[in-house]
Amino acid sequence: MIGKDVRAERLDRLLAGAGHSLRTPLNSVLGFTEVLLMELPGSLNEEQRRLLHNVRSGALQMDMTIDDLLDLVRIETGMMELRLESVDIGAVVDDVRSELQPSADEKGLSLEVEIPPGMTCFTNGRAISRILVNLIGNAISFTDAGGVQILGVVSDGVGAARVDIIDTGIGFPESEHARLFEPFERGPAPEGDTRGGAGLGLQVSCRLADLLGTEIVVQGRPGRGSRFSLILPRRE
Amino acid sequence: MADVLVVDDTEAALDLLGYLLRARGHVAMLARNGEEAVAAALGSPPDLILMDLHMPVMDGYEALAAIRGSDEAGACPILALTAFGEVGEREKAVAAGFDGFFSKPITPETFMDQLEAFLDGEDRRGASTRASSVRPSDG
Repeated sequence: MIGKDVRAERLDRLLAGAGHSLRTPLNSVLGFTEVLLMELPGSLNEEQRRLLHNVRSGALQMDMTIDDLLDLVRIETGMMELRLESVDIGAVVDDVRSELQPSADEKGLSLEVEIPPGMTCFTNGRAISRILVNLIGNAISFTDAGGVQILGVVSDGVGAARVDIIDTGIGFPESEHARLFEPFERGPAPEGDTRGGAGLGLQVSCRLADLLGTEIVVQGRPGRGSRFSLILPRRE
Repeated sequence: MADVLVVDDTEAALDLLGYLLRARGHVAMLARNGEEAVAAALGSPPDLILMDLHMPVMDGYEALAAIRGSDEAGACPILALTAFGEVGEREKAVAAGFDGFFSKPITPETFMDQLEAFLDGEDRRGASTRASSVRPSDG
């Protein structure tokens, strides 16, 4: 019989090794695609540029899936430990925003942030950052016109705060709420919409929120955008 | 313009970093494992070292210790660059004394901006007062 600790350690090493073996070639794919797009080896025509953008967006999606998949396995096997600490939500949102601003710019979408100064919560910064990257990233991919708003809301007396991510995207009917949090699912596609599923992002976000002892609340209407609220505890 | 020593056991990674460094007017010196890195760093001390962590012959942690312990290149800033992006690895690298931690895959433009900001910071502070803390990276 193999002990539980030994199994956990083996699984941890296996996941770390798998991550390494996937990210090493991905570093080449993404890196050299960028080198070509920067026109370092020579100039590109419009068609070549368009095709390379396709390579890049596919590789970025794969990168996110690798991180999500590894995290999800760690969460589901009880290997993910999150230390709770005081987190400056404004600073986390700023970092996430600078990471995602290029994808919003590429689609011509606005990205508005309003977080009250001094909004701190007792939680885990890295997990909050992962959740926000997923929620805001999804909002950007499922919005074609308009933009995404990120609002920090501090409720009086209740001891809770929340971050709302509101988009003007395709939205989804209430009957689909549960399905959104299933792996690789997405809301029903309007005709001609060829976007793939949201991957594992929402599921990872949801499980991370569970681990943090909080939740993500969803509202959406078909064609009228959606709102994802991340509830945050304010003190220990 | 800076001399940057890139240490990685993957040919493609060396090729990529070489391309990006030269495009910004820097000189890229290449090493394929920790042992080559120590020889190169001591032979001709660079302005910055980008070090992969897991390599054959001698890994990045051993190479870090050997370079740090030398008179020739002891003060050279050394950044970890690895495809082991897990939180535990970052903490281990920080504890070992790396000056920064970056994970693969890199976003070339952002990565080069951060690298150059690091070089600028080093210039301003001077090598003798090099900060021992680790800067935030793209994770």
